[in-house]
Amino acid sequence: MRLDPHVKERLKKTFTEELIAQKEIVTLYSTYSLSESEIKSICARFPQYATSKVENKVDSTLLGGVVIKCGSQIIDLSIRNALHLLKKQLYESN
Amino acid sequence: MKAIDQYLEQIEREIKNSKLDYKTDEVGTVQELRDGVALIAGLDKAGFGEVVEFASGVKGYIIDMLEDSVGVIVLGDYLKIKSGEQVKALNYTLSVPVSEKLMGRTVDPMGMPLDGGDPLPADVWNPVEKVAPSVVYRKPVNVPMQTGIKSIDALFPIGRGQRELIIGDRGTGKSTIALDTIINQKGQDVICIYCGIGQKNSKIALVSELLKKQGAMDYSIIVSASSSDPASLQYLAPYTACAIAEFFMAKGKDVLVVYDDLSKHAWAYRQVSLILRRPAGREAYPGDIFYLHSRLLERACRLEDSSGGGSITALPVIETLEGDVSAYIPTNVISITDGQIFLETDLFNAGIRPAINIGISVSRVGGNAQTKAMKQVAGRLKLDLAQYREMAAFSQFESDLDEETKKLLNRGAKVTQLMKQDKNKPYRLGEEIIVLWAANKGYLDLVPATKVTDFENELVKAVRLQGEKIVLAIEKEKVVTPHIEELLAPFVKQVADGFIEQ
Repeated sequence: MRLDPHVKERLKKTFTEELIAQKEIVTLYSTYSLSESEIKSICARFPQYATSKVENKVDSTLLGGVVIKCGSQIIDLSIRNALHLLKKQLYESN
Repeated sequence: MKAIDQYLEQIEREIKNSKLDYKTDEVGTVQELRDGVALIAGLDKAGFGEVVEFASGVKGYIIDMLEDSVGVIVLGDYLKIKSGEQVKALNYTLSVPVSEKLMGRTVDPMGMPLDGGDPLPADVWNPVEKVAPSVVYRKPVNVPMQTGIKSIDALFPIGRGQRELIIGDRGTGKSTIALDTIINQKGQDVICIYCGIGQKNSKIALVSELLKKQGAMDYSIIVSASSSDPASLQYLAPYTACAIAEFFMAKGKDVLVVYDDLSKHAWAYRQVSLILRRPAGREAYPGDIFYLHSRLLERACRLEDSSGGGSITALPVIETLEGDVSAYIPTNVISITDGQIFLETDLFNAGIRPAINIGISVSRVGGNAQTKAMKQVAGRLKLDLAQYREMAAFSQFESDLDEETKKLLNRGAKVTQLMKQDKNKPYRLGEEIIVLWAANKGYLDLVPATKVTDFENELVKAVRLQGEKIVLAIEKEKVVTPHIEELLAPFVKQVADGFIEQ
């Protein structure tokens, strides 16, 4: 099936817009479901995400702390990561 | 109890006041994993050539960037990686740890020891991919790099900073020439790097053993990506070797790098490229296969004194199939290098070793680097051999030849015999010159062709026993003065007399 070029153009445009919007959503991973006020106070520490839309997801493997993800960028403030870094440091320093 | 209270208070205070110390990482997820190459979604802000780390601990290297994904070659065991795994960009381009301690060691393309020795400390991290020094930092090649092989030093001299290709079929002694050159650098203040690409591990062990036995390992480094290593590591090996060489060059040293061999390097890169679905060209090699080798060999250079004055001499090796030099990779590398030493199976089987085809081997810049003494004795040699080749084919049809032609044929046959040399027995410059001088002055003419090798051995033995003074004089003066000739003549005559046909 051949698409009308005009329709195709519009589809492409909406699709890109959608993709960009998707990339701007900030996902907040935590070990338990966070309340609105908790999310707000966390976001307050990160001025770059102050105006973004925030989603909260639960991931119990983090052990504690939060992971903030936006597009391909990630800020890992979880206990899991801290332990991982500690382990790496211990192994590399010997 | 008071102490604990204070402690808790302090902790509370610190938590309140602490500024959040965080790091933003660039991440992606593994989408596809093909032989040694991973396609990763995300990593939007990662750069070309950046190193990434998989969650399982393996590292990778970005060599392909598409609209919404990047191609990464995995540096290590790619079977550990799972699809969907997180990948983190590490914010630096691929580098290897280098230090003086590398001397005498065998390392892999990541700079990790392969010889079971201690871990190597890093003085500096040198980038694996680096743009070659530009024209203003360079100096023409004018210092010789003695290979210790008569025929090469006389006919195709190699200078420090030159790139001389060693090309030939399998089993024609390509690696032997390169290794003899390394062995001959003893006491010459040259650091040698042997880079094995896709070689058998047994061969690397043999090379290491040989260099140790000959006392050459003290100034040598072996970089190896064996045939069982992933193609990605084989692809990186020569660049790592060059990065190590650059470290020593920056210290003003002369470095010799042997890339053994670049055909296998091209195969490894072809594999990676095809997996990345880059368009295939001639012989299924990707379009940038020429650039692959030219950017590597361009890094061989001789630096201006004001920029450190070191040099990197490159001896790339190419294996041909059935002596076909017009295949894709051989023609590419021939055009990049400053000359080639062509080895032939027929010559090898006829017992002429090193099996160098004198007709089509050349050295484009080494002539300027040749010592004056060598020029004196080699000029005539080239002419003798060229005339001999021409006459030899022609004279097969003629029954009676004139005296002049007979003399030419005789001289040519002797010189051809004289060009033979046993492996792992490099000559000193002075010894080479004495042997060639003897041929030049016609002392060989009366020695039967079958006895030429014996004569040469006897002469070298005598020189080593009694002629040390002459050798030193030649090496010091760098020219064969009439005074040296006076000393040489009776010496050579005495040896030659013992071989003259009765």
